[in-house]
Amino acid sequence: MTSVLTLGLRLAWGTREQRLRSVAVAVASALGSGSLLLVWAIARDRLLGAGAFHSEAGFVVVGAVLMVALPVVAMVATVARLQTRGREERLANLRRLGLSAARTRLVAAVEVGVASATGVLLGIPLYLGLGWLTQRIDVTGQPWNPYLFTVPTYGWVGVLLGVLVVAVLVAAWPPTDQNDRSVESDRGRTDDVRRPGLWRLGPLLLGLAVCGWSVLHTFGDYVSDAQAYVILVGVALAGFGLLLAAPVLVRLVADVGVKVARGPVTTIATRRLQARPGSVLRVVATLMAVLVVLAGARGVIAAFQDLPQYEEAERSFSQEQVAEVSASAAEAAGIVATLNETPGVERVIALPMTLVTIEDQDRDDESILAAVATCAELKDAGARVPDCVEGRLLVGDSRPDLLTAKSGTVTALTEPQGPYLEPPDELPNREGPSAGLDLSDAVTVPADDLYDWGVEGGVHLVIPPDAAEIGEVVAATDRQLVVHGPPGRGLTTTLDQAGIWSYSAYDTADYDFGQSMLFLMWALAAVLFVLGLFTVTVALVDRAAARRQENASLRALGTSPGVLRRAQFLEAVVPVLLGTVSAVLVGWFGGNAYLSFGLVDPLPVPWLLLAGSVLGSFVVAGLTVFGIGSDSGPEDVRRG
Amino acid sequence: MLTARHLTLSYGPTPALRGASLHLEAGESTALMGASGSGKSSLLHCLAGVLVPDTGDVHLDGVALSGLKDRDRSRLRLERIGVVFQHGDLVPELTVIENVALPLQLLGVKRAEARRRAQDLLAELGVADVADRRTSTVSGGQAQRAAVARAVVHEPAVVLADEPTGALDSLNAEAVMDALTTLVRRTGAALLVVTHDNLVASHLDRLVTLSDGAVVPTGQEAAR
Repeated sequence: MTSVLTLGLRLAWGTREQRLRSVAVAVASALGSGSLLLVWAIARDRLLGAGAFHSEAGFVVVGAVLMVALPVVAMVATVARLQTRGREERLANLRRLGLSAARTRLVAAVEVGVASATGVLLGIPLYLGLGWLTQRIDVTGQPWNPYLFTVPTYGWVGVLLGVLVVAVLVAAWPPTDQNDRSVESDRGRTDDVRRPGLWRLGPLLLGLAVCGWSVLHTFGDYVSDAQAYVILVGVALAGFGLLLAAPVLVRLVADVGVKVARGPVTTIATRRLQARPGSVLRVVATLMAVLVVLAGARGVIAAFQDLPQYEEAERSFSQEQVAEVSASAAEAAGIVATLNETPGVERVIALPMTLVTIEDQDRDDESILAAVATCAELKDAGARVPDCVEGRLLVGDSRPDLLTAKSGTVTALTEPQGPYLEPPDELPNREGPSAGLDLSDAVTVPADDLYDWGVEGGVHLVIPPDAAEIGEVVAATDRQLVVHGPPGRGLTTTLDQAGIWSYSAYDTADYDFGQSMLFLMWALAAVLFVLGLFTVTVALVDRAAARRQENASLRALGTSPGVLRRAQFLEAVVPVLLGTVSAVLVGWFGGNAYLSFGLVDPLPVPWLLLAGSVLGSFVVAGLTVFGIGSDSGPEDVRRG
Repeated sequence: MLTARHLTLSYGPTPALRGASLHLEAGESTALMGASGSGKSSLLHCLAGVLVPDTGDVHLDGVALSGLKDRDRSRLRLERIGVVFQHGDLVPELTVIENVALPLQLLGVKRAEARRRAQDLLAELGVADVADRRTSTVSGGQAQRAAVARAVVHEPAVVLADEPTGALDSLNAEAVMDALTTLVRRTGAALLVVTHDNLVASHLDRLVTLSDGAVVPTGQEAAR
């Protein structure tokens, strides 16, 4: 046993190439474990700490971790199988010496396991360092919670052991056909071109079918939990299924390419794709995952951004904060003075609020809330009423009785009850002074203009201050004080601390959750991008090394470097292009499936992302030709 | 035809060739023998224009290879030289017939014509039955006969073979050498075979020995 372990260690650190390989395994393991822990902690802190959607937040945390886990497995597996041919020949030689299959695999496991374990341990300080940096980022003022920015114990065990186990299992996996061939006395006659099974299409087709059903199905106001989960599973199946199905699609393209190929470049490229349709895709799997996330998560974010409370909060954070304070006519001036002296208050607009009854309507049954304001005051208070005419009554167009009424009565409110979410059924006090109101000359404006503004709930009617006979009513009626603060959060808290009870329309919980989702999406994209870049880099270097001898012999035949480079480019660009473009489209489709049950407008086709994917594919494919066809080194051509 | 004069070549501090000279005539076959590390393969690759010697010249029909750009050397090699390696070194992803047709396609011959000529040659060598199989699925002997076909399919002026039978049993080695010499004689090309095997050398017109990076003078070489 000791000799086997020693042999594994020697193989891990023997030659320069082996040392490079071990370093790559260690770096991959560190990146894998560190990024998994980091995303886990970010997701917990941002989503559980946002104060909304607690039950759903747990699923999103799991989803985020799984979204990183897949590329981590792909990365670790790719790196653990670097230098496959040479490595398997070495292991096959051990078999020839008489080492049993199990002991040979143990050697392989030790060789990779030591490097991976080192990397996993390095992942801990990497996570701590990146976590410290992450918590310095300001996400719309939401504080980071050190009690939530953690990973549960089972998470630590799962991540640290999981990355190590994946690396060891991949390294000790039974030899490939190249290994079989290398131990055969007669060079292998088995067909090494394995067609990817059609079963790989299953999850993708199922996922797309569910998404299609979701997009086409008309959901009512209510979506059951079961329906929601089916759709979410469908979206996830489509995303992960694409990674599984991509080799089948590439093989299909390659089969067609072989049939139509006329020149040596296309023949070589398509035959290579036919032989290994999944090899390049494995490398770009993480980039595909990034694109699925970027294209699809926009749907989730859009669903949140469509919520009215999100829009209110967005206005508070991007434009200004608005809070309301109710005051009686007598105390209004004093409260306004106090507010104006309160730090964080920029301006206060005092609007007299009255009740209006029309014609013969019984005011005990139905009254209409009305503000007394000029157009300028309305604008200053945050209402946008483009049709406002100075000196004229404004009537919202949602109440037919108001639109047809010719006259009414305006009554002062004399006991402020707080913000008027709706015209109160039980009127606070109807004993204030009243006056007649001429409605015949009122200007009709869109009801939303009067309803959707700083004063929560808005009003149905706006009376100009110079309307006839209302002076006594205005003097006696309550004021709604519209308090404006700078963009941000905390105005109501500030007012509370000043001893003034206030109300604010927006609910930061939904906004915070949406912003957290947005931050998580970008964090995921950044992490996946780093993992993808590392995987692509090491895989391309390995691929170039593996092809060196083959290309050297082709060069010896007289093949020009240009032919080799064009063949390599074509071989790389087909699967990368196919993978990235389909990832964007599947992500976009999945995002729309998610939006469909929220009755939100569908996402537009992400042309920019598609264009970026096409451009990126050409760049990545272009990178793979570096070094191809350059003059061969002595080791490539020396035989005798 | 093909002449090498006073070639020297070093891999870092290690000298591989020390003033090697050689001349190949059209229609003549030559065995190049020597101990391991004597520089046989290095000489062959210099003759093919794959490696450029540190000093000395290789001339093919009067054209100095070292004076050509890499691209032009590649073109010259493609048109005028055929190469066979010890393990064939066929492109593993291509089928046998695609490998054999490859030099013709690289020369611009239409696919159908290239495949027809490749198919004829494979039939002549007795491996037509594996024409549509990938090279990784055929035996070593079949792969090496395909490599021979690939080296001569475009009827080059010079064929260079680097231990073409080194990985084969004696029966397959005999078959490959018969195929190689028959085809080369028919086209009138010059043939140089690097080998350790006296039996292989016996198929060829003359023998040249390389020792310590230089051709050992014989009566024949001295006369040239």
